Amino acid sequence: MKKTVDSLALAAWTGIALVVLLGDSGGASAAETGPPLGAANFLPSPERPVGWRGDGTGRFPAATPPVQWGRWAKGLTHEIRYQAGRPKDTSKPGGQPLALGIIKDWLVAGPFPIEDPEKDIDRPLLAKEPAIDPDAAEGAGDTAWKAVHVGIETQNNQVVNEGTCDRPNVDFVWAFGERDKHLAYAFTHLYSPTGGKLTLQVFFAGKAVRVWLNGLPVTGNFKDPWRPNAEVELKPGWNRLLVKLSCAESVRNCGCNPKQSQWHFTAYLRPKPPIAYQSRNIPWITPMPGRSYASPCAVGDRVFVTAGLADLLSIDKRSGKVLWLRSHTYFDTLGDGDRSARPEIAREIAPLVAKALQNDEALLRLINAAVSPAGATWQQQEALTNAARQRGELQGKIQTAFRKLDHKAYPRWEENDAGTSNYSPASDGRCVYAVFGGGRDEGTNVVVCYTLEGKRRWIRCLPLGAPEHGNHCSPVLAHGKLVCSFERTLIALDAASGKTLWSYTAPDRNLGLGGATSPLAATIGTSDVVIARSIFDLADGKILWKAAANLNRFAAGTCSTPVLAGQTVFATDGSRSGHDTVAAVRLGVKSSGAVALEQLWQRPGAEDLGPLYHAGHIGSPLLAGGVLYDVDMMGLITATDARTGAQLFRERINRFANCNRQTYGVCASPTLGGQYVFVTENTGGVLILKPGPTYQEVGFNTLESIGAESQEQEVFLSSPVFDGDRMYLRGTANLYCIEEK
Amino acid sequence: MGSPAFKPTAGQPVGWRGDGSGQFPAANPPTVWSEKKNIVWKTDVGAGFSSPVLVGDRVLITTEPDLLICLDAASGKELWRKAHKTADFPAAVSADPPPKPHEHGDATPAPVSDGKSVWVFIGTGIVACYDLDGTRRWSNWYDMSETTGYGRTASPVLVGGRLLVHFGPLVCLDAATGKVLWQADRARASYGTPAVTRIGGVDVAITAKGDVVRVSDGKILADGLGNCGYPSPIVEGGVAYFIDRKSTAVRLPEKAGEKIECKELWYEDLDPNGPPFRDFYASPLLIGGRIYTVDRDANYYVLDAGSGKSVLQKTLALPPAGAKDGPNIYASPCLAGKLLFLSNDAGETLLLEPGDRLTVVGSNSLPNGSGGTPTFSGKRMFVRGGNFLYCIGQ
Repeated sequence: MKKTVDSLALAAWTGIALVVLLGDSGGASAAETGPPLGAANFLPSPERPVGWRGDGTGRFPAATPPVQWGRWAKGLTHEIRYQAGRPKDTSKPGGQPLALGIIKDWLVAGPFPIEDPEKDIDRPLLAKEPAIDPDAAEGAGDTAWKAVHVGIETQNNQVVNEGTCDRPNVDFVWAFGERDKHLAYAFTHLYSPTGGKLTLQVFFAGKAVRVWLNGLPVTGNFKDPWRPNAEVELKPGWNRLLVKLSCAESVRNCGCNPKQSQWHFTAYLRPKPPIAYQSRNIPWITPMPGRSYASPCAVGDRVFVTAGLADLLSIDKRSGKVLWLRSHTYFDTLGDGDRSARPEIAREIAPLVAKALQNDEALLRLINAAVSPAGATWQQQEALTNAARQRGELQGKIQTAFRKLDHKAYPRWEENDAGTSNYSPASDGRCVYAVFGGGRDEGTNVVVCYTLEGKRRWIRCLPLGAPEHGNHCSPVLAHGKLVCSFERTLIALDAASGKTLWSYTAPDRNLGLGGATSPLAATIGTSDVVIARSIFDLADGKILWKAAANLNRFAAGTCSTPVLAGQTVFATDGSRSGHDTVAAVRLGVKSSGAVALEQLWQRPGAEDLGPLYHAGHIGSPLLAGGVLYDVDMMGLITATDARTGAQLFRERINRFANCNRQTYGVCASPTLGGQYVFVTENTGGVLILKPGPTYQEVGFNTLESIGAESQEQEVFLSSPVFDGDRMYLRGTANLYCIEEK
Repeated sequence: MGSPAFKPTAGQPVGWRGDGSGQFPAANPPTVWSEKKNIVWKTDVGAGFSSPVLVGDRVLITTEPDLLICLDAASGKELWRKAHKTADFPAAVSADPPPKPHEHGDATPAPVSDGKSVWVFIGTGIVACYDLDGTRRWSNWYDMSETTGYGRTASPVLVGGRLLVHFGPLVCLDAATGKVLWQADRARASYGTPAVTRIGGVDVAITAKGDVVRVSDGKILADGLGNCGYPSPIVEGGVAYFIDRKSTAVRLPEKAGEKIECKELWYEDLDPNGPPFRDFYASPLLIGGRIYTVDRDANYYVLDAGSGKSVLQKTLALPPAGAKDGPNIYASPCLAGKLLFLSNDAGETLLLEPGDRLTVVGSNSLPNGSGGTPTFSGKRMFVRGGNFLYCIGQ
């Protein structure tokens, strides 16, 4: 295992004598026996439990995953290439291969003032419109065509939280500035070897849009904000796509962003449904019964994942088939006594539950029939979507029936927009522990323990509430205790019985973990502790070090969870500057026995990217080979010397991610799989880097996955997990097993 | 309320949504307007989610980052503006480190006035009091924790010479001096503005999270009455209504003891069938036994106030309703004269007749909208549109 900063000489820290500090990055040496994380024969145990990010570090050093894989729709789109400028030899292919359907290279021309954005869209402002075939720098009216490559740096501005960047747009506000009542053109060349029919989607903000393919008008339902689709037919060889877009107000005030672009579009080329897929280095893809942003948890020959309202699934690693599915409603949280206490439960709710169980079985059959290297077929997807919808309705009816009985005893745990199964499960090799629910404000949190075979050992229903976007903090297992965080409350349960051992409720939301930061188990000196903004004694919940409300050191003001290396904690902090800084803090013990912290360094945030750049961290940092990697929600990767805090490099992923208020560009934490660092963006693109002081790209892989219902690319917010030759990656719709064939 | 002759007093102050009810029965604003029609004036005041407040011949409005602006109501001419950074104040008002502007804005709360003074609450934690000519009477920064994730949004409320400010904890200031009279830590703020009412002659504030707090000493007489995520509660006829995705109505007792028992009259889910969930940002209107409200996606509800049952549920033509990242409805519906005014943040306003059927009698638009709720006086309507404050009238 790599040596980490904690073994370095202490900086001068006068007045405080330090007691023994542990030397190695993993923690206690006795627990380090056995194969390292990522090894095919690694098995979690009570001494070495696993949960979110494996042991919390995001490092699976013994894994040997592939660096190339892919999934793509069969047919036309996979062979399309595009380029902005005119091809030199029109008989030959050229340009960039189309990936995930997004056309990223364009020529733009404008801005042209207009009187009426609705009427003037049909007024030709270019000679020979629409039969034009321009090249960069050629004239367009009084102006010239200029090349635009779609990316984060070509969006009007980068205020992320209220959604400026949105999709990877061709943004005319970026290209031409704020121009109310203007019109602009965008043009690109598409190469298709065979030609054929496909779907063109043009999402736009603006007043009116017109589209031409090879000089002929394209009619489509572009005003539909969900499915702005048109059926088009490409001819073999080169094709010309022209988009014309008018705006009334080019920017608008949206939330905290006074300049949200209202003059942009994104064009996707999608295969015509039903879409069939092929894949490379993917032994199986298992469709999920519901969405979740939790990471999988690999235990022995199984993978555990959460889904939907409150589902826990056990999946066979070899086949990808679901071995068992346990769903949870209020009915499951009640003992027999409680169920018989109210006659309505037996009379009205029990029949619904019986029906839901039947539905679960039917859904399982559908899922297992669809497991394959290419994933569910279009027809299977549609059947699964229907079954999942029916299931959701049934579960909703059960929950509503309980609310009708007593809405204070059974508050909605499903009430929040971000989901209720985003806590990653944990395991000690004997049992698997999962957390669900949270709701909003006064919601209920459900904690449950199953044997690996699916026998329930205990279930707890904790009315501890959640922040307005829910609880999503993964539980941490340490020394026979399961520590969970719900809103302002940190609670330690006995892993064997589920009984509450201790709990602490912070007086102030700024002193609690909030909804997204997970507690972290650590050892300081000889004490086992939990880091959860403040530092607690794992044994009894006593506060060993108390965080201040306005001066937080552990992931304050961000969603990310700190990462621990020996006695050093690396954490993002967005509480003071508005830009997330990253700091290294050493944990120590004074001679008096009191816990003391020493900040080793603090790396500034991205202020240099301008006042409008406000991208916090959802994912957590990764320490690998003495370098700390952090990736913000806009996909900005920063590498920092873990010893000194000096910035080593900064690069953007900048591929396909959507960056808006529904989905931030990168939420997954960077993860070490064997020799490489894996960074997942929200469209499922995974960037692979070689660790080191310079940026070295090893590969970039995509998983094309268009939902039959959404007709949009699947969203990936979870961190991957590595296990021997394999990587498991959870999207909102599927669990992917990636392994070289 | 709504009459051109209305003048706020200490007994009848004016602030967010007028007296908090959103009802201006004596107003009679135009039913047709546009950028080119029936605009008496428009003045660039800057960005913000706040609502204008009309005090006699003046309009007061907060705007980002920390401004209180006073305009002449007749002409829209700016009379004065005051900034609220700690550096703008005497040395006595100090904060170290200085309060950080919130990325979601600090000028969401509306000012409140008794006709002589105006009080302003800036989300960074500054409260100030001015006379109507802009002379500062006092100002202070209060070191209080925040309990909301998107900044402080509750407007201050004036009751019996006391100023209630929901910093996080509910805090009562002496309106004349700014001195803290009490602080109720357990009465935590969400986003809504507290409603004030009297129980057996005792002034109480009812918070969005369902705490009943006695104004005289900050004692929490009851809690858990209801729970509004973003909206504000309303009180009428001794009943407190908490209207959100999960709605409750609670009868307050006749007398206020040290602890009070409140009877829940009903509980209803406004979207009982699960996701996709719709947030309510707007606060409701209660008129003639009917509750009118609207969610962020323009789904309009009429509820029977007695039973909580939905009488009407319709998606309004406030375009593009249901769009992924389209306009939202933040502004609360208002009654002006006999009509309901509902606006989205893209500048579209629908005029509806109250009642059990959806009767749209008008639809007007301005180039830009806002999250602020309008206010009304006589034949005029004052509404934020983008960075402008509009006075709409014939």
